[in-house]
Amino acid sequence: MPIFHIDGEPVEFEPGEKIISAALRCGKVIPHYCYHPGMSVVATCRMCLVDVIDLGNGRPAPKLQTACSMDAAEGMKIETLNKKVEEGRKLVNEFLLVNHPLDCPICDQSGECALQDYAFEYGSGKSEMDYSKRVSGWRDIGTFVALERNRCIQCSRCDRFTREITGTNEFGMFNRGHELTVDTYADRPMTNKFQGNMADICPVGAITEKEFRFKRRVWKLKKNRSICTGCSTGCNVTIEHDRNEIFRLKPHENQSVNKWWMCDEGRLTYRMMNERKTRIHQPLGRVDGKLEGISWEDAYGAIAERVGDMSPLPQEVLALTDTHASNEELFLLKKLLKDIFSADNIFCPLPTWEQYESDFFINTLITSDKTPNRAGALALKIKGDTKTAKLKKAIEGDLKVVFVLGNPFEAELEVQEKLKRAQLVVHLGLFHNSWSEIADVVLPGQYYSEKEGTYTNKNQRVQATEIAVQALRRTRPEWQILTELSQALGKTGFFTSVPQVFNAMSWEVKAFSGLSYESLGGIGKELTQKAKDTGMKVVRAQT
Amino acid sequence: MFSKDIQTQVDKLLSRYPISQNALIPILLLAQKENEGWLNEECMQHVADICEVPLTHVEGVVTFYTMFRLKPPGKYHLQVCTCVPCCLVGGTELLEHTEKILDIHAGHTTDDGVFSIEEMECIGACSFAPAIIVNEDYHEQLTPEKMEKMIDELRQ
Amino acid sequence: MLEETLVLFKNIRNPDYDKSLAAYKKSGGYKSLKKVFAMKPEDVVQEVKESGIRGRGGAGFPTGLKWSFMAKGTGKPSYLVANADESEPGTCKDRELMLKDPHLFLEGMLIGCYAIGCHHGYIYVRGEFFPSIKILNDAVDELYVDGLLGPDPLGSGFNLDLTIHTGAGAYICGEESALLDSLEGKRGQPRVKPPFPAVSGFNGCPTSVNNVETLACMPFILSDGGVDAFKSFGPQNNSGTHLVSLSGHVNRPGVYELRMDVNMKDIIYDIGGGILNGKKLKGVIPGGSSSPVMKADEIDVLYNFDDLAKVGTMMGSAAIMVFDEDTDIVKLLHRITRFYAHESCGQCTPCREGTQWSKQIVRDFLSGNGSDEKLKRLDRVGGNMLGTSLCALGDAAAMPIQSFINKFPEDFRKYYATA
Repeated sequence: MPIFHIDGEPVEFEPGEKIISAALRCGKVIPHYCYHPGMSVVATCRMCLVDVIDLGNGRPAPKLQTACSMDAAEGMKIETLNKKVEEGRKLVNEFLLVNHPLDCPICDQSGECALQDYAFEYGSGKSEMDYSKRVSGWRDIGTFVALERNRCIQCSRCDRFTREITGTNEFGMFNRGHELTVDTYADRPMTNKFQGNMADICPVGAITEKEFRFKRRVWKLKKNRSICTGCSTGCNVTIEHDRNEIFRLKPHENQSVNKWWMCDEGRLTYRMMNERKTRIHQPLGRVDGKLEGISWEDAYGAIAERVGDMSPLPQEVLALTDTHASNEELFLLKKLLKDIFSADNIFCPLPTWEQYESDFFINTLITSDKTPNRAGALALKIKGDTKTAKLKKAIEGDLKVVFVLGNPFEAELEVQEKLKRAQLVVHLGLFHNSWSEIADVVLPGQYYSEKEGTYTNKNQRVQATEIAVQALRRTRPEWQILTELSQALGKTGFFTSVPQVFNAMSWEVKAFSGLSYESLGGIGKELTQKAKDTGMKVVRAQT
Repeated sequence: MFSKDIQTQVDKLLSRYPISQNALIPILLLAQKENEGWLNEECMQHVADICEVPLTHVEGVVTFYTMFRLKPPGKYHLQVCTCVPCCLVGGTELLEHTEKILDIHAGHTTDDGVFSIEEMECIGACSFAPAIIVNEDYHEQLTPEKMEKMIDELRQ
Repeated sequence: MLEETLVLFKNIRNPDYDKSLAAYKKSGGYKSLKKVFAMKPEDVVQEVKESGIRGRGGAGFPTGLKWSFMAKGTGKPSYLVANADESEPGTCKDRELMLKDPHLFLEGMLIGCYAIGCHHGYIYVRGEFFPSIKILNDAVDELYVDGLLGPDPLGSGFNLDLTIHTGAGAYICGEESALLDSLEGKRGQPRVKPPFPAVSGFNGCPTSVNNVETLACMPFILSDGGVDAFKSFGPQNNSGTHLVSLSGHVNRPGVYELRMDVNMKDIIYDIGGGILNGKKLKGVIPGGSSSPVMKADEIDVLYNFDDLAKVGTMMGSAAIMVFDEDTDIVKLLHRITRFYAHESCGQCTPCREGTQWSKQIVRDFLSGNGSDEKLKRLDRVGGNMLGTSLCALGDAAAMPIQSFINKFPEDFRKYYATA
């Protein structure tokens, strides 16, 4: 690959790549506002000015050049730390602060604000501007975001976003010169489903998320990487939280899944993560027809005793799950049935779903499948059942033991009636639902943000989540419950971590062969053997 | 929405460019002329449809160029240049005098709707300064007296 | 007595000339075009190169060289766009050509189209030039009726079309990439370069943007002996005659066609008739408001691109604005900063904020709040726009500020010394 030099250090670049792209990729600092790798280059903020002392032909550039608009060239030499560049950055910073209000004390962006950071690094520290600043006011620009026009530094990222990324053209730049402003014009709030991204790309606090405004200072937030579980795309996110309360999800860049974006619906899934009042807080056992709190040991003991009494045949055991469960959870549930009961009647709903196609990539992020692990269920050969015909057949006879993971088939009242008559119903779940109403034992699991797990997205890419917040004290992650339950029911061998379960899964399940938990890395990895999904329909997206 | 004559002109314009969008500014000027010298949202939406561009785009264009007006001008729109060469030979005084006679400031219209004043940047008549444009006609080498006379004549 | 050298204004200075196609042809018009059709396009470009003509819009870039940069073999159509967006304060020469001898300019345009392989040329006229637009439209209609525009002009087989396109009031659209954006139906904002218009211009196709006067020179240059004659009108690298717009405190303001080896003193005192009302000269803005100002004792210099560049200013669009001893320098600078603040497109930080801030500082002086510190600040703010903006408007806004402070510091100090 060709090479150029920045501050004396060699940097590789792809032919046709801009200086700033190569530099940032190699970890060099080049301050910028308007440049964004996902959008067109405008070179208007002038913050990325660098000194090109050799254009690659022995001659220097006549003046400072913007790194975002100049192609890197073989033999090029650039300086970013000399006096000229320092002066350039200082003057751009000064010009931006001429009209930018000193809102830091009340601005959400404080702490993650490019202008603040660069002012601290490169600014002069005192203002020589004696006159009134331009005032353009607050605007309600959409269902999800608000606009504080005074703070806008006219980087045009938001303008390019609705033109190039969503194609909805709801945003624009109006007027000229000093009056140049961004807006939706004439009180027409945006309706696109990706407004939160505009708050992300805004380098200052001009566009902010209505959900997050004034709630928490960003330097108090801890960040953990995870996956959005709102649909089967599995956009990479960071969960940002403080003292066990989650304040927001932000997209994490993954060029193979969601690029830089996520949808607003996905962002709002943080609310469920904080929903704790209606959760099941401890294991429950049915005593005199009523569910009462019991200990984990008693729960496992009761199940083991009942199973021991019944000695059920394979066809008398049934497991129902939904595709919210992680790969490990599905794998262990299937394994439990097989190892303990030699059974394989495990079902999950697999309705048809729609993948959207569009000229604009971002519209393909949302799918109609609002669960994160359908592809995982397919890979693990869980019996999918779109019309519950197979399921109904499986429950024709008498059932002795039923395991229900999550909240599958909640509308199938006929199935629930049948299952009521099973001798032992064990529900592993988070919330009270129709299954816990009929369960004999309820084992409380944990929400995505509280446990580790891997999920297989719509393109059959396996991605891992981290633990973000602390779980409720007397709950346990489902993978651990299933392992302990297996042990209580007589299985030897014991998994002590999710990576262990994953690696066992990749050993035993053909679709996951060749993968290891470590190999998933930060961006996930596609299944080596992909399953065919006949339930997918490709549909043109409505903007 | 357009009169037949304007529609003919619009069609002719559209045929002169490879892409409909290219004809946007000339068509907007036509639409503005047709709408008594200013553009409202209905006009802009109509032109947006003709040129196959989003309304936000048209609004961005309209607010960028000074010749597009978002409120009605007077019957006689007095565009007085006060830029450097005109300023050197009395352009500013000419503007002030005009404002005094009509009792309005630049950027406004008289109550009877007959005159409006706009302060202009260089209108390209520098060697013949001071100069103004009344609607579409250039009037050059003016003095405050000539200006008064012209306003009186226009009032008739 | 300094006389005009009539090449472009030959017809215009004839009181009987009625600017019709018939009159133009009678005075020898469209002979060059006929000759050009018999040449190879690259030979036309070569002659233009040899003539040494430099762009008359302000930048002074060699036109032949610009045409030779046109990308070839792209499969896309090539375009010639005439820049008639004359908005540089002080400049009113293109309008003279368009109003009084449109066919001279149009013939030049057609020659240019042939030279770069353009079959449909566009003339971008500023929206305020209502009279010029009407006259150009009539002249273009005459050409279509005559057959000089259409499928087979003069039997050449080279089909030619022209479209008059109107702007809507933006000085920045005189910048070639902003002009192209405006021509495409967008906000007139200058583009990031590269790519240059010669590679990707109008709708992404190879385009050359040339000034009206530059194109109007083509019939002469391409006439027999034209190249050498053109070169003879000025020193090396400064060929041809040019149209000088003289304005301000002179007795005879006007547009004059002069050789490139005329002394500025003679322009002002001879053909310009000297200072109005017998006053003394204080200073001159030599090349449109973007050029650094000159003091009265600096005008003993030949008026062309290179001689003015040597003394630290520029000829630009050849617009001389003369101001006398009674001129309030700070008020003048205020008007200039107001102009740039109004016309800045607002895209890039230095120009958007710098033009506004510098205007505010100058206004502060006018209100009586000046100081040495503020003068230094004004100089610094102006200087910060130089070389850091996306297009030349930032430089154009910076140069007057710095030159006025440099040349007339006492005029600023007068404002606060008395306070």
